[in-house]
Amino acid sequence: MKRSYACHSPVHLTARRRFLGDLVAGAGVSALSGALAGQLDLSLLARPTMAQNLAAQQKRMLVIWLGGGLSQLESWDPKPGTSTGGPFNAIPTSVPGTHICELLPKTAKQMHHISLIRSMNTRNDAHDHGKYLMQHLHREERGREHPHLGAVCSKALDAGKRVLPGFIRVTNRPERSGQDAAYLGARYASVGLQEGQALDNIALPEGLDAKAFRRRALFRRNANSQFGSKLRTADTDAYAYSFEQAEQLMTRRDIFDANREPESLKDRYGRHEFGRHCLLARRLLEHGVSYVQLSHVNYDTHNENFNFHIEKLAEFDGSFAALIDDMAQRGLLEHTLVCVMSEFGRTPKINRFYGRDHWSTAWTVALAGCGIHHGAIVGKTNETGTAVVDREVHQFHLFHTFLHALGVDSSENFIVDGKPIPIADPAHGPIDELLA
Amino acid sequence: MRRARVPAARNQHPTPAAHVGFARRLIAFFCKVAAVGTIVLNMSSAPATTPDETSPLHDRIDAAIEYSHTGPLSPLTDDADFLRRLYLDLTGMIPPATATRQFLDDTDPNKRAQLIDRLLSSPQHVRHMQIVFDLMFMERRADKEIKSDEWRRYLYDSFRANKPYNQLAREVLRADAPDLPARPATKFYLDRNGAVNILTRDVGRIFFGVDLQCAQCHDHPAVEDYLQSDYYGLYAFLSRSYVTGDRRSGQTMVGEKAAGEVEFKSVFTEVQDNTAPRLPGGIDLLDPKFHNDQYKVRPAQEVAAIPSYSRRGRLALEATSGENAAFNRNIVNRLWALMMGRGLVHPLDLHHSDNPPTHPALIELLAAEFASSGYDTIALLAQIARSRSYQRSSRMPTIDLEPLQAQQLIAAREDQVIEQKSALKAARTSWGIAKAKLEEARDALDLTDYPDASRHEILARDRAYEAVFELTQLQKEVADRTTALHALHDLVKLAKAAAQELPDGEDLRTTAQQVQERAEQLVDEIEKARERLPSAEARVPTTAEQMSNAYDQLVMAEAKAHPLVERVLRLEAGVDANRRQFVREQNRLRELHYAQKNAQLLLHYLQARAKRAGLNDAVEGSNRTQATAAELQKELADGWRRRFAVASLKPLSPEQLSWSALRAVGLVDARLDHEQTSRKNEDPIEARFAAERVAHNDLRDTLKSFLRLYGQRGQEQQEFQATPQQALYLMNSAEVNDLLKPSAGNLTARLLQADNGVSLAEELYLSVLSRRPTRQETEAVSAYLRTTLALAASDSGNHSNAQSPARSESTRTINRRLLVQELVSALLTSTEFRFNR
Repeated sequence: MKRSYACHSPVHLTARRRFLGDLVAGAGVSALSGALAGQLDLSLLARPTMAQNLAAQQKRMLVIWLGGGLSQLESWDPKPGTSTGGPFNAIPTSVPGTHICELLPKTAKQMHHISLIRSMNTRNDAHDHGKYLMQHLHREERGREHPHLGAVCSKALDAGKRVLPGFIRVTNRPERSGQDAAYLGARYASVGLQEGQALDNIALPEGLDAKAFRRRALFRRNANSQFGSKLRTADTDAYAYSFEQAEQLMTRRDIFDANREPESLKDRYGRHEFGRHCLLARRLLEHGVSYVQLSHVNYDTHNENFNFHIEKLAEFDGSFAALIDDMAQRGLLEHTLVCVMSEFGRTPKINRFYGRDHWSTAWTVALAGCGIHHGAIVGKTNETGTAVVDREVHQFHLFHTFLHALGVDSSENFIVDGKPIPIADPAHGPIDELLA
Repeated sequence: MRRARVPAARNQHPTPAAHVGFARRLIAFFCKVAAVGTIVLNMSSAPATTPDETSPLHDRIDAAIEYSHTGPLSPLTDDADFLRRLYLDLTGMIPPATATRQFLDDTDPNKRAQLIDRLLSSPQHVRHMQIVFDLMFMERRADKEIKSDEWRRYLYDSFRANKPYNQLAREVLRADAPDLPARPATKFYLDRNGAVNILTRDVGRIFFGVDLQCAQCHDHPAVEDYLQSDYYGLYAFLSRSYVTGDRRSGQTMVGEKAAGEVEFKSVFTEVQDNTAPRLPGGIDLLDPKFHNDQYKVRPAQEVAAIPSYSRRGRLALEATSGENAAFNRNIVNRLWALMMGRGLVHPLDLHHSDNPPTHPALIELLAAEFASSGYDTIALLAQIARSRSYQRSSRMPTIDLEPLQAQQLIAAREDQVIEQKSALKAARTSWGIAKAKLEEARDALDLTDYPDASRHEILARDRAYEAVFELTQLQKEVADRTTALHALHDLVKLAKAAAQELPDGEDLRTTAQQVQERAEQLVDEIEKARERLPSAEARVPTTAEQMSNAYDQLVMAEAKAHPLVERVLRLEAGVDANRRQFVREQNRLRELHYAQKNAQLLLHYLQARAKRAGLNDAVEGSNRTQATAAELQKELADGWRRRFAVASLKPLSPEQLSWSALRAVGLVDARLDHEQTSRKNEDPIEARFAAERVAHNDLRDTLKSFLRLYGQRGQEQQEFQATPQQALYLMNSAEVNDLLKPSAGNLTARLLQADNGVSLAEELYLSVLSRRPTRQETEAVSAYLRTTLALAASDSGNHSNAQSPARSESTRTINRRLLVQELVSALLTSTEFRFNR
């Protein structure tokens, strides 16, 4: 007897195989350089229709990670004048009726682009677990690796056509490609991009000029076409294509160089590190990187919460507001999902060091762009912010919401080596009221 | 222990001989109809007689593969491709240039077989198997409890000794050795933190080829064979095990409790169920009853408990006994995939009835042969390597057939199917008859005293054991209490004495009184226990006698029923043989169905091709005229590759790729030669192994970015992926480019010594692509060196110094060096280098 029940959607192995599962590297045609296009049998490179649609919509995602745990009370969900509220006032925003903390005056003017989920309850107050659960679509399992959100986006959004890496982390450390794609494979792993630096190995090797590089590449191409005349598969095409992609990356190195942005814009974003990272992130997204993540850290304010937030948010506010404004003006926000999140929020209770501690029970995540309702508020905490009183949301709802906004059916599976693995936790669904 | 093989009742069924006859008729038929002289049918490349059980395994492999193929098979690949393929598959890297030159020039017709044997006994093969099994078992996990150096050494030593695979698997699955050499085998459990769900999934996948992950919370939604109870059957072997620091051995160990049953509930049906340990496809394995201590080492804080009966141990034992079909099929499928690029069942961990093997009979054959060879991996790899199926070219053969001929082939296949169906029916009937006879015999046996006597004997034995157990318990009770009593007496005396010495000793007197009371109570208890002793003592000889009587009766009943027992055993063997015959016939039918499909596709392709050529008449009857010839050709090629009629083009694994790059640029062999020369006086075999060890350890981190860029942690990704980051690394990284600079004995240095373009090209292609260059390629290399030399010289802006010979010479040298490095780099980044063809 056939069992018909399944994890929330009827599973049919062979049908699924066609979906998202095999976006081979060589599947893109349009970006091929003329020299190579002549040699390739285009019928081998046909892309699945589903992926083609995604490519046309060009959705992207930006995650701004406020490491350590932003205080929701000093930012998105202020409780002025209460026992837990702290010293700051709430100010009106560009959305009538919505107030946020006075530490975010510039962001307040952009609130008509932004939505808040004030009812996050993620039930884990440890940094490493909180970080894991907010950045991976599956429960943390001892001994099993799951892909990072960025790798999932890269795989689901990158139709294999893009020359650029699908998942870039903007960092201030010399970070290289990560091992964070797990079963999705090396193609979708993160590429670390240090500000002011190019990608690893993107420069010509020492002692080789551009002419020599081209000469060498031509010899390789000739060798490949001779080999291809005897033996040709989708794999050999994919491999040859990865070199064409690499060469294009080399010629388009300036994508990674935010210094080429106008000086006035640099001023608006802020000349400090976070401002420069925001500008670089926008530049990358504009050129078609599917997922960018950048960080602003040191929000773990067990001591002197208020002084620290004045300092940190002064940086954050200016750059973030400039970023949202700039992206909106360029039309980029329309198909880029922006998410500001941390591993958790901070306790309503103020400790004796004027600090706030780890708090995952009732905190806020901010979203913008890509069809997320503008200026919406989801959920509510009580008067002193100690509990969620309306529309509790946890991370799995959030991931389904991300994916839906990005045009990906989050109830689908990835097919990994012929086996379906749910993209997101199949027991949950998106926050429908946020989706346009 | 393997059951004796019972020959099938052949005379009732179509025999292999009948198939030979049929094949001959088929060939004869074609000789008549095929006016085209060049027609190549699969049968023509098969040996004149169908191999039987005495033929070498590799012939039987080929017969199994070729049985269901229709159309031409791709021919054996040329020497250079074979050499490179074999080196990659057996030693994990391309051959050194010297070996390639030697092999290509060798005229011995037996050179392929000799090479297979030589590589299988090389140190590099041991290393390769270490790498392959490390990946298979640990999937690039980060180190936790067992250092990967220890673990790799353990695997290395295992393969060096050609340890039977089942023994290796048993050590890994038992995971109970506190001491070397088997201690590293606990890595599989320890580095997964003993997490039972993870272990259940990974044991299922890696040792039995079934991924039961989706059956954890409910029956598998997509795979009908995978039930939630299968998951928990496997889980039940592991659920009592846990990881703990063990203060006796001073290290982290896997302990196991003696109790704990497994219950589970489907999230769909809410039905609660429970299960005993059960292997995939096996029966419930109940715990034995224990009447004495349940533990060899009791559980305690920081002690890894060892139960008297270990479920984990049972798993290790049952899986590796030779009798578990899933275990055997899994490993031969994995070894097959290692050589052939894909499994007979693919994906490798998805064995189930909706994902049948491409060649059902072959996987059974390999599993049986591997088990009866004592799980000898070297022997199996050697047989696979010798087969024509392994040695085929990866290029599609020319298909020199007309649509009409394909139609005739299909017709012939249909006849075969009809014949096979009746054979299957006969097998089923005969199996049914055998089963009925067995039932009859069992019924007759049931009517004798034998079953009752057997039951009584078991009961009597249980009772006798129980009596002994009770008596020992009672004796222990008396002894323990007597010891306690003595201690209490002393305590009373001491307390009384102390009370007298102290003026305010009232509380001591009360204590003494209390202790006194407890002692009296103990005396009572001892009395009572003693009263029970005589009867318990008496029960021991009584029950022992009953046991002995029951045994005698059993023996008598058995003697009386002996002919019937014999008959039942014989009939059981008969049923088994009939069942196996039935499965064989069924498999043969399945393969014929594959063959039919294969033939249909061939026909469609030929029709489309004919249509493309303008022969419209030929397409009549085709229902797939809309598919283009090119699409059908691709489908045909994919299908033939999947069914091993054409060799697969395999991407090199990250390890194969990095080691091959190191060998291509001359680093590996320079290091090996150096080490071997310094060991001239040692035993030559040992010296070779020692040299390999040193070279391997010295070089393994040379391309440290490789594994990070090419490999991912966790389950191995089988879909080929190529990233621009990898390409940038190969083209531009200092790590790779530094290898190209000339140094003692490396490739660039060797190439710079070449007198002319021809010998340079030869050395270059032999070293990097493991073949001689074509004339065209030699010319391209010479041209590269010539024309670009002039360019490079003018680029360098040294015209004014051209008169100075020394200066000019050094510019020329530099330019030549750079050009040579460019050429090496170009070939290292070529598609040909990336794949195992």
